[in-house]
Amino acid sequence: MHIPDGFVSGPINAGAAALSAGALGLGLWRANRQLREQPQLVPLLATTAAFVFAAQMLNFPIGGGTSGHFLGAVTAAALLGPWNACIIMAIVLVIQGLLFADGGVSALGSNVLNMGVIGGLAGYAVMRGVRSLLPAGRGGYLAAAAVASWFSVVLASSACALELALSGTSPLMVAFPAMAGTHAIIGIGEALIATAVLAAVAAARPDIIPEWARLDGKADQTGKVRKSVWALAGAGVIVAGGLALLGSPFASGSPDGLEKVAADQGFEEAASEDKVLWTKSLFPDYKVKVIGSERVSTGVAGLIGTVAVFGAGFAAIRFLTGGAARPKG
Amino acid sequence: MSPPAPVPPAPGAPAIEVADLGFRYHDGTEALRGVSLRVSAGESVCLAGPNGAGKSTLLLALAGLVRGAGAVRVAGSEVSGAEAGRRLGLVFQDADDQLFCPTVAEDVAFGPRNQRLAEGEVAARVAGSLAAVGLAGFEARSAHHLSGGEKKRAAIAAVLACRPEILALDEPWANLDARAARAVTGIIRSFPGTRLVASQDLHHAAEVCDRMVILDGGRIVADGPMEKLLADAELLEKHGLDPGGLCPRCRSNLTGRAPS
Amino acid sequence: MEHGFLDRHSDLDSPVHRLDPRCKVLLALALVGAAVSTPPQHLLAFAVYAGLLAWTLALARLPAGYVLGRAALVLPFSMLVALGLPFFRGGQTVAVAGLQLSVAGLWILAGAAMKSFIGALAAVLLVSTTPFASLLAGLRGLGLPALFIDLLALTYRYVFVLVGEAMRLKRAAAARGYRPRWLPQAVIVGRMAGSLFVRSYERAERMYGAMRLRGYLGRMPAARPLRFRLADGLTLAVLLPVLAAVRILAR
Repeated sequence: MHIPDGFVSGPINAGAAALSAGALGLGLWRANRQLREQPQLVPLLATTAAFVFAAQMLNFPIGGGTSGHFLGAVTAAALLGPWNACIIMAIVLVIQGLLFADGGVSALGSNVLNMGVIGGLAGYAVMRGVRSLLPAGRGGYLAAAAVASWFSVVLASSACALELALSGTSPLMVAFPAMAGTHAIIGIGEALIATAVLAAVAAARPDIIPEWARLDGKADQTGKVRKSVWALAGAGVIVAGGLALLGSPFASGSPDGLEKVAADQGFEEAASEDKVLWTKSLFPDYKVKVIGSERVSTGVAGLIGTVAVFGAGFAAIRFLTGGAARPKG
Repeated sequence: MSPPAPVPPAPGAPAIEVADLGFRYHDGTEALRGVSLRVSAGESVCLAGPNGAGKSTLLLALAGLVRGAGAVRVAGSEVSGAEAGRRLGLVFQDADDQLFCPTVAEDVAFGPRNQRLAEGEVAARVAGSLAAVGLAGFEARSAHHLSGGEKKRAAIAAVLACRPEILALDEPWANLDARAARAVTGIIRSFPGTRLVASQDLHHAAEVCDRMVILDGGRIVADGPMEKLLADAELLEKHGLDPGGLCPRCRSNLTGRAPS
Repeated sequence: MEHGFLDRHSDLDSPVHRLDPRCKVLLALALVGAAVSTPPQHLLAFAVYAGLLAWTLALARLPAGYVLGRAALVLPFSMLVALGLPFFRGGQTVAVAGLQLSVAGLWILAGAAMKSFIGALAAVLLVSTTPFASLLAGLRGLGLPALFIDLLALTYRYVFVLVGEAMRLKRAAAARGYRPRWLPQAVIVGRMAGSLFVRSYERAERMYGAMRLRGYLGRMPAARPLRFRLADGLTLAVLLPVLAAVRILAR
């Protein structure tokens, strides 16, 4: 998800950089204040950033011989707070961009926005939101972390696709399903890893996650957590299905199909270098696309595929949180 | 070249005075029970004991990094965190924990700079400390480029630059090859102040220390002259120390008795 | 992890190495900014940017193979993202090997290749002529917040340690027969990562103790201040207008 130089236009990069700088500035200000009571925060932020860097090198298979990578934004947010997670992701990205050519220096604004701000801050907000829906307890905590981790990866990649589209590099109809689609699967790995990390940390050093000790392990003995997780899974499937419906008519592999669409909707004049015209023509026509009947079958196929992937993912998560919720002997 | 001279101790006060020190970790394990110890200025003491005996915890308490029940006085005054480094310098077991700056010179300068010394004085201390550990010329090197022995010496230099009166080391010879171990022994022997070495490596400790304190299960179980305790194989074995680690020839050299 | 990998050659001596890090950072940013915002059709402008970088490479007496090789590492990633564009972009097409490829898409592909390579090359040159500590001092001098700089320095130092520990965990798992084959095995990766985090946390605790013992009170001590020299000023005064001129002409 690291955008190299030359894919996102100047104005988009600048806007993203401004947003990122604002969020980072706020995060650093808060960290400076936190330092007064917790001077050990400096080594801890650094080692956690190094941890995220190293953990991102651990890859997992996502089928078809390809592998995905851990992002770590929500995990860092669960461990150290969302604003610190934002700082940590920014540090990792600066080091990766400057020293490893992983992400362009000019694209740092966009990369930090996607993976740090959206991944970390928005991801943590999702975690808080999901926790409020689930019964309080350790299973709920882990399930919320899992869901938020999945969302952080999908949201970050969607933002990336949006930046590519707004820069005129890649049409949204191509970038979005490609990015969000692959990351919907990678997100499952992220969710599994995040849950396993938090559970492992809580088992070895419960004092690291202060709220873990306050959570009641016994509350998960009831079937309520399982029911809630299934309800969430259902909601998630609906959301993912909606994305698939909107996205997949445009993911047609045939260039002819896309060119026909472009011709039908007058996108042809937008294929010039004038990016503004492209953007203006895309969005008002977006809704019309969905209703077209020849698109329905593609949409249904996409929906079924998403449900299958989602169902497998959530079953795995439920199995995992069911295990972690069992109180230690 | 000898290390920079330490700050002179308060006259008359023992270098280290511990009275009935107890410490319990947050998970409940009792690491120290009723430890009482007195070390005079200029002594070289080996803290021996099996794993989990509490040696490292005792050193951390002396350095002021953990606080237990009981009194701990270093160089005559009560120990408190930030001040401790000026009187007791602690070299950790893992040098990577102590070398956190981009270059060796910055690591060695870290202590003096925090003491708000002038840049000229800082530079002098850096040069002096690096020379004392045999790392002159390593100023611009990064810690991750160093070998294990060089890292250990750099960590010692960083501690020496703070000019402590007491030098405490936690397992200084662990994971070092013979040459690096010899270099470390030499550095410790050339330190003019009080020395406290926590180690299971009795072979090397015997070359540096003249008194041994054995810790087991958080308690002091023996305290006496090095040669006397080394000769008591039964005592050593009872507390998880390896009398065979000291070959019969070396032991006889120390105790003056013929090898059995 | 190969220890010398990252800022190798930064300890050499050359006119480029001797420049103030702030100067080098500003020039790198200006060049990358100009290149990234130039439309790909202006091939001459890109030739100028590349020429400036090649001249810097020669002046810095760096091994060309090493520098170009590291910069080229970015190409597989950027090409992966951009490769589909000539097929999907729409609009005017041109026949290539029997396929109808979009002209606009081909230009974007070419632009992406040139820009990502130039960006990576500038970064490699910057890092290979400036020791990392010095680079951070330069960023600090240009206004980045002190806490962020301190964190970058500490993180950089421990990245090697943590990656080494991660590699050891991977090898240990492989030695016990772990072969990544399907997604739910991500849980095993998670357990390794969990162990890695606990270790990193405990290292932070020990490091904090070490810092406190050497007098740390919350802020890393300030390093020597940087001094701008005539050479730095002249370099900026010449190269920045050149870059601006090229960019403006290549509208």
